[in-house]
Parts: sequence; C-alpha cells; structure tokens
Amino acid sequence: MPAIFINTTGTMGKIIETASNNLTGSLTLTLFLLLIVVIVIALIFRLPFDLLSVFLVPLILIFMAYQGQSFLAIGGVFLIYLAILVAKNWFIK
Amino acid sequence: MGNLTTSLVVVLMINAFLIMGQSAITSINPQASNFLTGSKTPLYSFSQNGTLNESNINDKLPSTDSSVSVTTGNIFTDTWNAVKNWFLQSTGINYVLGILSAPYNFLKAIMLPNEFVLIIGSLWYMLTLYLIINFLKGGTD
Repeated sequence: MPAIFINTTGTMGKIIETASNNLTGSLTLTLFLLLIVVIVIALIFRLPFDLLSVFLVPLILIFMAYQGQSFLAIGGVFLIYLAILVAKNWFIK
Repeated sequence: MGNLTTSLVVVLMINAFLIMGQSAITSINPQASNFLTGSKTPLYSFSQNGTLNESNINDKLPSTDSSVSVTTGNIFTDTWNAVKNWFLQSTGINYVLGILSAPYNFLKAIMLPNEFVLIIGSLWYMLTLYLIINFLKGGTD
C-alpha cells in the first residue's frame, strides 16, 4: 500500500486500505469503485450531474494527482465535460 | 449546426480547464504525471514558451516573417514562404488554424485510445474547417 494521501489511522483510511488489500486488490480499483459509488448515490437521489460535478472535481483531481496513469483519461474526459458545460452556460446564449 | 464562435469558445474552454487541471494536480503532487506539456494548444501558443509575461505584450502578438534567404533555396519558394508566413502570422490566421487540430492534441494528451482520438479529431477538423470557410464566405451557420 503506497503511503499517499491515506491516513491509515482514520476511518476512511482504514476502509480504503482494507478494501484495497482484501476486496479489490489494488488502490486504483478501490478509488474507481469509490468514484462509481458517489455517482450511483447521486443517481439514486436524482442529483443533477452538473451539481454533482462540483463535488467530483476535487475527488478526481486528487485521484489524477496520485494515480495519474490510471485516472488520466477519466479525469480528462471529466474536465472536458466541465469545460463544455461552462462554455455552454456562460458564453453561448 | 453551430457557428465558428461556438467552436472557438469550446476549444478555448477545454484548453483552459485542462491547463488548470494540470496545474492543480502538479500543485497537489509535484511528481504527478504531466499530460498537457505540448505547445500545440491554443493557449500555450498564445504565450511564449508556456509562460505568460504581462510586462511585454508585444511578444504575444503574431509576428511577421519577411526575411528571404539569399544563400539557400531559391527566390520563388523563399518569396512564397515569406508571403505565406506574413499572411498566416500577422493576420492571426495561424492562431485560428490551431483550433482545427486542438481536440486531437487534447485527447491524445489525456491518453484516450487512438481510434477514438482519430474519429473525434477528424470529425472536429472537417466540421471546423467547413465553419471557417463558411465564415470567410460571409455565412452565419
């Protein structure tokens, strides 16, 4: 387990570390699962994706910073989606 | 069908968000992977060598190329090159033409599959080229 941003004494750190070791097998898959869980919860509560993207930005940026090779495409597509959203709402009337 | 302004705004906003994302992840983790290092994107080509220096804005404006070499090449191609570069750079068309290939470079930078990048890049190139020609002809859509 690479000592990145996980505080292994905290609750979330323990959950991520245990999930990586016992459930998914890799930190990348755990983080991807975390991302999917957040999106699924938002879909269940019918949260609009525009609003959800505000919460997902820091999450995805941190994933990209520490697991860059794995999350670069996901984060890049997400940033492109955000850019088109901003261009559509702010500049194109 | 969109117009040329829509294409420019979308490409510039994608470029801005990718640059901000790159600087954000580099700020979080200095060893993070660099995905937007090339100079082929519109915003990077606006600045000099990827750094902005507001003190001398004349460096950011398109420059002209009017020199003709007398030792290499020949008078016809050199004259043609000088005239072509003058038109491309002094009028800013070179900058606008960078919009055509910008999505290809973006999608390659974030490591999407080659086939996907080829399809999106070629679609964008053809449609934006049509929009530029249509704009020069005076059309609106």
